[in-house]
Amino acid sequence: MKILFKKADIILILFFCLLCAALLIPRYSGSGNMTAVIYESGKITHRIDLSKVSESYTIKLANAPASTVEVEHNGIRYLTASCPDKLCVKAGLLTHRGDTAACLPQKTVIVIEGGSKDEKTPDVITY
Amino acid sequence: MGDDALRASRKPNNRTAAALICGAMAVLICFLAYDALANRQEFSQSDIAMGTVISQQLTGPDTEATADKIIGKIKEIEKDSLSWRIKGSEIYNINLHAGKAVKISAETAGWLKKSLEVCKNSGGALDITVGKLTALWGIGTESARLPKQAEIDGLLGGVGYEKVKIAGNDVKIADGQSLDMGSVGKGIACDEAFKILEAKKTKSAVISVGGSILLYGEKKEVNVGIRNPRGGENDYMGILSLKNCCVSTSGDYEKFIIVNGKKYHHILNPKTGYPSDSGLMSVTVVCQSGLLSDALSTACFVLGYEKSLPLLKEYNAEAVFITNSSSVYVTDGLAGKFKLSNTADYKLEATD
Repeated sequence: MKILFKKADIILILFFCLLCAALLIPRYSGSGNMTAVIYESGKITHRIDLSKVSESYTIKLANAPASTVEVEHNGIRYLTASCPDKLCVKAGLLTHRGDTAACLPQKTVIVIEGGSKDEKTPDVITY
Repeated sequence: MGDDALRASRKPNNRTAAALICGAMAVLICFLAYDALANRQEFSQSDIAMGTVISQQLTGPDTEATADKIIGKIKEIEKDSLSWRIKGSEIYNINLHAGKAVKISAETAGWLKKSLEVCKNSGGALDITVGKLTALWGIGTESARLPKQAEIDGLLGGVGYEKVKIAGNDVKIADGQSLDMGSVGKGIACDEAFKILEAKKTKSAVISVGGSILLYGEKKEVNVGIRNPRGGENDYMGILSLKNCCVSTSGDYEKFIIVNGKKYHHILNPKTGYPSDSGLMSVTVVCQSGLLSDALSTACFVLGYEKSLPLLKEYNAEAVFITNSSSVYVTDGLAGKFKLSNTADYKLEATD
């Protein structure tokens, strides 16, 4: 019986199929590890994979008025701030995708990206 | 037909079939590569403007430049047009020259006209001429205080949207009046972001201007959490599943002062000069325009649940109301799109 493809053709086709699958990965893959992104004056200054933090540590943010950020396993917060209302510190520990805290006078924002996403978690919060 | 003839007729067929399959796969790979690259161009940015956090999540071509353009535009309209605090802005100049006509840009004149229309249609529940009262209370600033009744009475006479006159791009407010665009500014920013996203052919975007949200070009619905009025900053009480619209919320929790154990929030009732007390903790409005969703959320917060319904209908807008007794009312157009998450503290009420 005649066959349509030779062995080499099949290998080539399988290669193309794998290539297709690889190209689809970025589209359908999960959101990655839970990552804290710190913006200072609109620019990213720190990107921290919170799932890989084993011991907590602090970071000083340079913009005035100064603040300190505490990074821990799966969480991040403004620990101290020299701004008047300290709303950034009051925002508390950020632990979920989309959680945000900001220090308006200092022009800094901390956002959590990645992490688990399902129908029950918001992509954005109106307030 | 002999064997040779059969072989000869099969060979080209085999080649044609193989060529067709390879061609189809090449097309598929090109499509997937394009699709993957287009989707991979995701960009997120957070910055501070208009005294609040601006967060952007964009997908499509040239997303970083688009996000930069949007934040640039928002800062520009704050500085050049809408801020009553920044010296030299158009609103600052109108307030400075109260009683005289001031020429402004067609863009700002358009925003003023639209805002004044909501002031009129809400019967003054929204009134952009409360600027002097806003400054007197100073809620959200370091100089926030509980004013004396005489101080409030002295400024109430200046409140009245109907005294604002617009002729072409000339705007005149009455003596003693002062404009405050705080109830529409974030929504205007969403509308301007929409124009840039359209021009830049952005695939999809979720833009939050201090909690006023623009959902753009999404194929799938986006989960918009409604802030829990009695929870923390990132705490939500329910989720709206929405796409291609604007969402704004007004609540009593965002900016306030506590004097002698009593809370005074920042949304003033233009008729009394005091923080609105219509029985609501918050109202979230959904419609097609940012300016309108922002303006209507303030108007509805002042009007209260029942009185807001005709106004929402007039603008083809929908809303979620949270009352002081933790009851949640959802208008018909959002039925099936809202899910209460915090069932321990809130109760979803049936609406007729």
